[in-house]
Amino acid sequence: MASKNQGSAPRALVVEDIKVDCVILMHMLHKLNCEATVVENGKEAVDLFVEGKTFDIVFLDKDMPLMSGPEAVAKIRAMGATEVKIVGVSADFGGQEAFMQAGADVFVPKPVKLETVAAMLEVMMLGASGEAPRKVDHESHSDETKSFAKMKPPEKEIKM
Amino acid sequence: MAAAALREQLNALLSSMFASGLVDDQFQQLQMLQEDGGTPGFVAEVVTLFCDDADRIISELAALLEQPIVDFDKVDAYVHQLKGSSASVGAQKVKFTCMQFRQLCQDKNRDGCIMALAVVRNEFYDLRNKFQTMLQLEQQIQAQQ
Repeated sequence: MASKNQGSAPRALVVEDIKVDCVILMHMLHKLNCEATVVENGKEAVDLFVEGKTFDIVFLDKDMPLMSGPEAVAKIRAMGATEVKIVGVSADFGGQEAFMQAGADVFVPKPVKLETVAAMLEVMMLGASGEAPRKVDHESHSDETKSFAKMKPPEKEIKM
Repeated sequence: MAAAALREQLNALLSSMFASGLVDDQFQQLQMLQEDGGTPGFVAEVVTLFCDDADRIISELAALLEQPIVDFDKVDAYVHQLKGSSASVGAQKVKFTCMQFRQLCQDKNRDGCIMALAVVRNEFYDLRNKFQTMLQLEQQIQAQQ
C-alpha cells in the first residue's frame, strides 16, 4: 500500500499480550508497509505516549495484564493524543462498548482480516474528510506530552 | 518420495482439514499471507505458537478444575484466551468448543466444564496432529527443492 505521506511509512503500535495474535497482526502491518512497534499491555502503551512517542494508528487488544485496552485508550486520549487513530480489537463482542466509550475510533472483532487492516490504514491516510492527509510530523510533541516525558527507553520495541 | 507426490499428500491433508471444519477461512488467510508476503516460515511460526499456547492453557484449565473450589472467572479468562487464539489461526472446531465451554463457565457448571475441557482437549489434539503432519510434509517438500 503506498503511503500518502511522502516517504513516511505509517507508524503503528500493536498492544497485544497473545503472542499468536501479535505475530499475525505484525505480519499484516509489515505487508502493508507499516513501521510497527509492539508492546504487551496497556501500561506499556501508555508509557510510550508518556515518553513522547507518536503513532499514526494504534491497535489494542481488550483484555491484557496490568492495564486493559479500554483503560489505556482513556489514558492516551486524556493526554491529549486526539489525532492518533485507535482501533479496539477483541474476540469479545462486548468489548465494543468499552472501547468506544474510552475514546477508540473503531472496534474490530477478532480474527482481524488483512482487508480490514488495509481499509483502516487507507481511511487513516486519507483523513476523515476524504481529503489528502496532513503531513504527520513524528518529531513534534504537544505541550501536554512534553510535561509527561520521562528519560526511559521503551520496553520491547520491535521494528519491522 | 518425489516432491509432486508429497505436494499431493499435503493438498489432500489441507482439503480434508477444511472439509471437516477443523480449520476455516482464517487459516486460508494465513496461508495467503505467507505466499503473498514471501515469508515461507510464517504459517509454521503461527501454528507452533498456537499449539504451545493451547497446550499451556489446557494444562492450566485442568489444574483449575481440579480445585475443591473452582474459580470460574479464571477458567473463563483462559477459555476466552484460547477461543481468541483459535479464531486467529482458523482453528474452527477448537473455537466452537471454547464457545460452549464459556457458556458452562458462566453457568458455573463444574461438571459441564470438565466435560467441555475433555472435548476441547480432543479437538485440539486432533488439530495439532494434523498441523504436525502438515509441517512435516512441507519440510520434506522444501528439502526436495
